[in-house]
Amino acid sequence: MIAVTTSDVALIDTPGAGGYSRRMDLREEAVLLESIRAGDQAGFEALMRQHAPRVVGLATRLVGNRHEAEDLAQEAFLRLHRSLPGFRGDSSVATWLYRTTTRLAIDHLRREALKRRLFFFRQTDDDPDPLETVGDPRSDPGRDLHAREAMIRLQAALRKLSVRQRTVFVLRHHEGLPLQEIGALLGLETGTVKAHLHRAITTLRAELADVYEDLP
Amino acid sequence: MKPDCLSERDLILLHYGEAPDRITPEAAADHLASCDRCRSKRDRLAADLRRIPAMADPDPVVATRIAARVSERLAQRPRRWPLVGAAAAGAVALAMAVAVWLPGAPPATTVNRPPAAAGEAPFVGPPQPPTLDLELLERLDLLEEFETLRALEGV
Ligand SMILES: [Zn+2]
Repeated sequence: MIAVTTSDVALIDTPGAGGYSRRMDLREEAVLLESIRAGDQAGFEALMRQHAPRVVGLATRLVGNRHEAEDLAQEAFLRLHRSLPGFRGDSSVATWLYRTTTRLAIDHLRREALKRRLFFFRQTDDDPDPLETVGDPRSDPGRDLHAREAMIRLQAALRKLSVRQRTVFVLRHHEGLPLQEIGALLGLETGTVKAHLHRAITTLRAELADVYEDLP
Repeated sequence: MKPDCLSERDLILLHYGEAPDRITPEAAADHLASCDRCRSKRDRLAADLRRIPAMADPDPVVATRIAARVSERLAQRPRRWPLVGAAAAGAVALAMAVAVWLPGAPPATTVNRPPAAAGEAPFVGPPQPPTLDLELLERLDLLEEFETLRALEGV
């Protein structure tokens, strides 16, 4: 069942790195949900197309890999579809997806961390390049290469963080969520969230020190 | 270094517009205005954080692809909502039919109970509106939902 709190709304109203350009009115959304519950599959597709860029973007920033992020987004939408019969409409779909995607990403990161610990697993060359995410066809190749290298280094540095440190950093730095809301989302005290952010940034700065030196 | 110099943690919190730990934001601003060392640390931190590459949301092509994939997955499994709706409607219709067919009969919940012994007060269950059938169906649906979820997660 979907719980609603006042922070649900704040979570989405907070301007993040990729805030919604157009937020659907809750009543408008309730009408669409009712139509989907009555079997309007095209309506559900429209809902997915509206939310997917944000969901994939969030998942990519959290797990650092577009391919895995798309899988997580698909799972989030399948869960949304299953939850629709009990969806009361007093929480926005965006908020629900934000929470679900974050939790799915955390579970994914934990599984990956466990795999790495158990099997000395490392990403293979077959894994899609996380830097597909930053390619801009209009940018010049030299600069693009530098950006790709910086992104590879960032992803490697992020893997040095604990799952919580990484999640807190991404939600604060990239998503622009206030620490108090991150605490509510992760079930942590604000002081603990502050400690994770501090540790994350200290580690990232140390890991990326030489990258910073190379950059203009 | 002054005794009230800001910690790295406080500088990080201030950078993100969060309240520092042991000092008010105003006092921190006053200190920064008067301390070259803390200002320099703050500026280095800000420069480092600015250089962390951003990861933009994908373009709408990705959204279309995901919507198509999810729709495909949904089409592969039986749709249950209309069935649940039909079952719920059927249960309500059945309850009403029983009530009409047995005029003066006790509520449906007592129909299958053994007859009350002589002298014993007839059993009257708590009021059971037809919505209970719906709730039961919803719970069964949720249970099935949970099992599907477990199956998916168990992979
Ligand atoms: Zn100072």
